[in-house]
Amino acid sequence: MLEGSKGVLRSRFEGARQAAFGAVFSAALLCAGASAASAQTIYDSQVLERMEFSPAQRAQVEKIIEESDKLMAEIFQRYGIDPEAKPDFDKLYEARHELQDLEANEKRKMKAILSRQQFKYYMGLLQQTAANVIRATRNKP
Amino acid sequence: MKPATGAPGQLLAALISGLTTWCVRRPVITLLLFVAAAIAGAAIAAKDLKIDTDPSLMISNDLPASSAYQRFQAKFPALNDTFVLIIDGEAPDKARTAAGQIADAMKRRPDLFSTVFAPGNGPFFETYGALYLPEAKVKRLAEDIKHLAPLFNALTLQPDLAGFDDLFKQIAPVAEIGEAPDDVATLLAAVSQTVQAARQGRSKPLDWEGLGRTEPQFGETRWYVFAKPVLDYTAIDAAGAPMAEARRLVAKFAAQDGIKVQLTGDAALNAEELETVTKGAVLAGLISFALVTITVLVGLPAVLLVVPALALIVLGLLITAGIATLTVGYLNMISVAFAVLYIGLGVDYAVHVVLRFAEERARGESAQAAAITAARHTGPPLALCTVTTSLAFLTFLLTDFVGMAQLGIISAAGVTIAFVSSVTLIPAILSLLPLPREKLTAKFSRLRSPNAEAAPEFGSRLRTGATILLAVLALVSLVLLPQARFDSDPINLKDPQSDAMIAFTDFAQRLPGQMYAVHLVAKPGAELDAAAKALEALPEVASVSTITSVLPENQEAKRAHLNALASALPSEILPSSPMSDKERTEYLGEILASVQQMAASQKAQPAVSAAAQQLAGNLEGFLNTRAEQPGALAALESALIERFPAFFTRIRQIVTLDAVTPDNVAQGFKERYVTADGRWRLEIVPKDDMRDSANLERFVAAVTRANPEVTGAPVDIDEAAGVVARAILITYGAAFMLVVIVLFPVLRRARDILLVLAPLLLAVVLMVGYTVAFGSPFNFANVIVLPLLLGLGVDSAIHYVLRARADPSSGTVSRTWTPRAVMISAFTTMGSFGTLWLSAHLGLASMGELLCVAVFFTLMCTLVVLPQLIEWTSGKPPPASA
Repeated sequence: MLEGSKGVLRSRFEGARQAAFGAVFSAALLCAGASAASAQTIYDSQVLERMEFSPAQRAQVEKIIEESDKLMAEIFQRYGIDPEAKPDFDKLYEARHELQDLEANEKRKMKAILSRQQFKYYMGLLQQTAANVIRATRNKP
Repeated sequence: MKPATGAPGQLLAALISGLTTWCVRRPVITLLLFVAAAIAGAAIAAKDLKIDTDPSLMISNDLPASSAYQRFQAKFPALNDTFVLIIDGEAPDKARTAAGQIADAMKRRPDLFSTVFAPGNGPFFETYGALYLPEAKVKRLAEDIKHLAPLFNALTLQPDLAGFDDLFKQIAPVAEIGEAPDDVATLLAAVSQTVQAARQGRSKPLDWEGLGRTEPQFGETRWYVFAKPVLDYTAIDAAGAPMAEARRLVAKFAAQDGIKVQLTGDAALNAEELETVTKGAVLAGLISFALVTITVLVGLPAVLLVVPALALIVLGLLITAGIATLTVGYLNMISVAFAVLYIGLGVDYAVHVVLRFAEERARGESAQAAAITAARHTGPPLALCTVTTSLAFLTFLLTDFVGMAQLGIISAAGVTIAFVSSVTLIPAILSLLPLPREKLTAKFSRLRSPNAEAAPEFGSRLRTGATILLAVLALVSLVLLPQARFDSDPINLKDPQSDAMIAFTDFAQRLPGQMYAVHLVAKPGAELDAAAKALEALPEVASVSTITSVLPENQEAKRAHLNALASALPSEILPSSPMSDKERTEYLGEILASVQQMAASQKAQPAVSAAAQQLAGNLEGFLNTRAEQPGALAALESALIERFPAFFTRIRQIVTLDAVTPDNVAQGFKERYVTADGRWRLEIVPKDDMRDSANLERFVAAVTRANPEVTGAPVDIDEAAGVVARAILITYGAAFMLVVIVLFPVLRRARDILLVLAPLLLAVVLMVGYTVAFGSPFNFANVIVLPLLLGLGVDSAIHYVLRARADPSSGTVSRTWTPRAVMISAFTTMGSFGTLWLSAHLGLASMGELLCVAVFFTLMCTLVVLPQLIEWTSGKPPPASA
């Protein structure tokens, strides 16, 4: 009687999809918190300028942001995103997974070295930057 | 009047006469002795007699195929004695959930179910289920998970209200520009429900996994649960308790809307068969007792004469049951009908003695003298019948047909008891009965009156015509004889209307070949590959599979899609920071602002906007009415986040899946495909319909020729069919020889021996012809008819021939009550066995059918053909009343 189960087994695990929502959240995150590579651009959260750090923290934060800048510049280049130009929603949407990875890694590193209040402020800067970028995609030139 | 023929007959008659005289002179003591023996027999049977309808017990376990199959079953206990629950649902997820719940309920009863396996449910499938999807769907799943990265990033970084704030701040600008997908609305609605519950002072944890259930997830609407019941062999119904629990679960879940649950599997089929057979046999026993009583009441010349006949049936049956318990210990599928058999056979003995007693009383003898005379005259033929009937049954001891041999032992004991009762108990009771002699004399004189010979010519013509008709039918039967077959498939014996059989048929229709798969156990590697290749090449084989068949196909490509996500998703959930209620209130305020932003946006999709408005309302309401209450904020936070870790863990499992191998596959599969010492089972599925015995024979021949180690139910069935066919030939040959050896000292004349055997042979030929013409093949149950036909046929002929030789004063047998006794015996036997025909169990019903037909042919051959043969061989015409 066992054999009966086997024949239909393969089609049964479509249900595993229940683990996912099954749809995109779209480009909820369009940019990381990096700033240097896109200094003075809309993508720049100006974390180093707008936050206060202890000397030890500053050194670590600078290193993190430097790494992020480098990676972000590579991603922008890869997807043809001009940091100086008006944000292009479609290009950013294409690059969103890499940008999300980059941002997530940076946030984790930051959380490890920042205080609660600093981290809250840092998150606020990034959220504001992301919102600005997304809104800018719809602004008229 | 000579009581018997020859010196042995006279010696036997003298012995019987002495025994009967002793009993007749001490009737009360005799009666008490029988009652005591009956009470003892009943007590022994009630305590220890069991019923086991397992078809494998019918054939010797020492046969090669049977032994091999038993060794195989010992290696794979999970494949045998199982319950299979089939769960069908209108919605696939509903059926799967029900299957999981049933499996869980069974696992909670380890006292009733030793193992439970529900493919598609349980830890293995929770982990590796994704790999069983088609590759295209795995790819889509991977993309879906990838799109959820922002959610995972936000909530693994801050698994608290801060994380939700971050998430909503990311969603809000996207929603604001009208780019948020529909699932954002689903998320907002789910969060809204949780907040609304918190607002009402309730807790409704956010169902993360449920967020994805916006469309049917499964293609398959049928799921299975396999459970191995704990069998209690000390009980009559070994699977009784697990069966009751399984039925309870079936009823419970079948009551749910859109769910259908069926119970089958070999353990359920056997348990149901046991119930059907037991009920059928008990009912048949009671009805046959009633029918026999009525027949005897009508047939015997005085009502009181029924008393000794019924005493023989009741007391003898109980004594036989006791002996059956002591000798065999259990009743099998055939011997469960022993009660009906005993009633049918036992009453024959009683009828012969009682009618002879009536005849002697009618002639003027006293009750005591008539009882002794009746026993002296009928005793030797009855002794001869006992020996021939017992031999007919006991010859099965020479064969591997164990089931029939067991019945043979019980029946031989039964007819011996019936014989002993006939010459002791019955005369004792007869001597006590206050029977008016005049009434018997009047009835007997009517039998001998000249009116009985009113139309001798017409009777003679009728008999001749009937004999010719039977001869023609016998010729037709001879032509059909080669087509006679034995159906050894036990499934064909079961009640097709029983729940387990209906489910089985449904199952078999979907996967016909699987039910008759055979197996080979081999070491994985070259040995197994070579064996599989050879078997696959056979035209009779549909497929050959091993444990690899239950591994996901194309795993590497599927894993590549999923494993690529492992680095894109967070690897762990960071601990949340302690948060005060003030901070929680601030975060909720931020979340509310984001949600209001979405709700107010002109460009947001209507669904997102509506969900955002609803959530905003609930958040405002909560903040205004509940937030101040102690613990309310923490409770809301907990409700939002508490199920997230399990959801995230699940997703991590999916994206970090390793390959499913024979080593890590579900234990339920492993124990069905791999032995404890690491050898694999090859499952060889036949191509053709195995319900056709010719196909089965061909398939078994092909696979066993390709590899003699192949085992399985079809091989066992095929061997059993051969065993039964050989057993029938052996027993018939041996029984005929033994009957001749027994008859010779008594009858002495070859002509008389042939006269006894001829009608019997004719009845056998007609019987076999009937099985072909009416499509009622022999099976494990109805094959009982063959020895019985031999025993009954010889009995009737012996009575007739001996009476013809021993009672010349009557002129012919036809003017005595012997033909009447033969006829009453036949009718009581048909009435008794006919009740089995009504059974829902096809085995018992076919047994009843063939027994009735066999007795009918025997009656015809004895009362029509035998007198005609006597006439032809003696040259004297018997009177028409015959």
